[in-house]
Amino acid sequence: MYPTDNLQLLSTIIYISLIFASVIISVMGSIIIITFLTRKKIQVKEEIVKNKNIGIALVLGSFIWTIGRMCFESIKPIMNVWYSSYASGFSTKSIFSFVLGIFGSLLAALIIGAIAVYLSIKVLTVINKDINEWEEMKLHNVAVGIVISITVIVVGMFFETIVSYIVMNII
Amino acid sequence: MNQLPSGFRDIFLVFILCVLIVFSVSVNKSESQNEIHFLAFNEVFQPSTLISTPTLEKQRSSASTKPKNKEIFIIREFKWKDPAQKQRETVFQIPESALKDEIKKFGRPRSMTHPLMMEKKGFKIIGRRDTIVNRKILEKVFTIVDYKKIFLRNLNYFSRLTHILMKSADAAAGQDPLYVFLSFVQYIRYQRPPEIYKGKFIGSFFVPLVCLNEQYGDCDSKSILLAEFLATAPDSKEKMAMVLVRGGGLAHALLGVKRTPLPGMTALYFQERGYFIVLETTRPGWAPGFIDRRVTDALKAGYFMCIELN
Repeated sequence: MYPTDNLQLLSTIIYISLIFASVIISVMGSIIIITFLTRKKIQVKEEIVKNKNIGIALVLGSFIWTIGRMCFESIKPIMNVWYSSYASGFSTKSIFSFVLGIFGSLLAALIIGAIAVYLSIKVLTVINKDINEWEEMKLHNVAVGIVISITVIVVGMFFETIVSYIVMNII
Repeated sequence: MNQLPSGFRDIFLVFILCVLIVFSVSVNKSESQNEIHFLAFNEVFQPSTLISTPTLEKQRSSASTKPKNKEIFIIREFKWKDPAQKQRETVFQIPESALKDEIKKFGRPRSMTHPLMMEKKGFKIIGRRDTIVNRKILEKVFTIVDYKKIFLRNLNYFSRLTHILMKSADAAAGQDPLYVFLSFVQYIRYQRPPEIYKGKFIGSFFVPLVCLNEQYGDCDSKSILLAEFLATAPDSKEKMAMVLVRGGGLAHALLGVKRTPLPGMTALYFQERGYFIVLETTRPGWAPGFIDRRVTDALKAGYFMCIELN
């Protein structure tokens, strides 16, 4: 198994592809989640570009961080399976199941990230029943944005540890 | 290409650029090594302590590797799965005299705590501390198993055993046996050895022959066993080190082998010696260079020490 130039080149390509996929999933997923949570009342691009809303930008950044961490945690189990598959030899079935495993793992990372984000927002809305966080952020309340961002990041750090275990069972 | 939406096209171009940058920057041919390295990996740790003991002369074992006419062999059967998930069966014939010799050489009687005697019986002193007990100053000695001594001493027994293992796995002589040996060792039952074995204190460590005899072992026993197989493979030039992790609520042992880490692998970096990838021997499913997250966190925090084996 070790070390052939082909294996190194293929592994590097797969690794960089996974990183790219993680970045794309985290950014797009974050925008979709905010749109879903606010029931389309907040248009993220409009708020950030036109209205220069720092609060929304902070929240979007925390969502991207959380989902990105979930995706990054799933990369190691995927690479583990890749090297195991390479050592055991490839067949059509193994390639198909490996590719399916990648999609399943990244999807699982996205779902867990979404759950972490939803949970943190839900906790805040339950605790602060008299405050409508999204409305406050629409009114350029940066302080609320900071609180939401930090809550999301902290909850994401707790969920990050379980992602790799879940992904290993999927793959 | 022009028909693709501009966003996707830009992302694709950036992706190709990244691959080209990684390929061109990390491809370097060292004059002495003449290797090609790809540096797109993560999690490389530099150990703060590297214990490199002077090379001991290989001790000639009293047990010959050639079976004598009246030699008694202990048969041990192992069922395991190779990297291709094919069921394998390996039958080892362990010379009884060699096994008894190893049991005799390692382990101290419970009452024997003198440092010199402990060193003679396979332990190494790594620290001393004075403590006051009942108004008396007593010296407390901290010891670990002398892994390097045990590793070098057992090499004589393992060339034949390694040949048997390679034959049972249908591994050709020129083929890299790392993954095959790792799979075999991972399928050995994980169980912590007792503190006391055959009336002697062994510190929950089985020497390689005893580990094969008992058919179970813990992390350090299995790591040394794997090191024996790797060192005695045909034309082996494997450089190895024991990685002892202790801290953060964890006490674990891994084997490090001097290899170029591939993307995603966990590796240790020695200033003068280069990269060592870590091998997890406790249970199946871990490819070379991949370890549990808790162990990775302990390595990141620096809670480990390395002992060079060869």
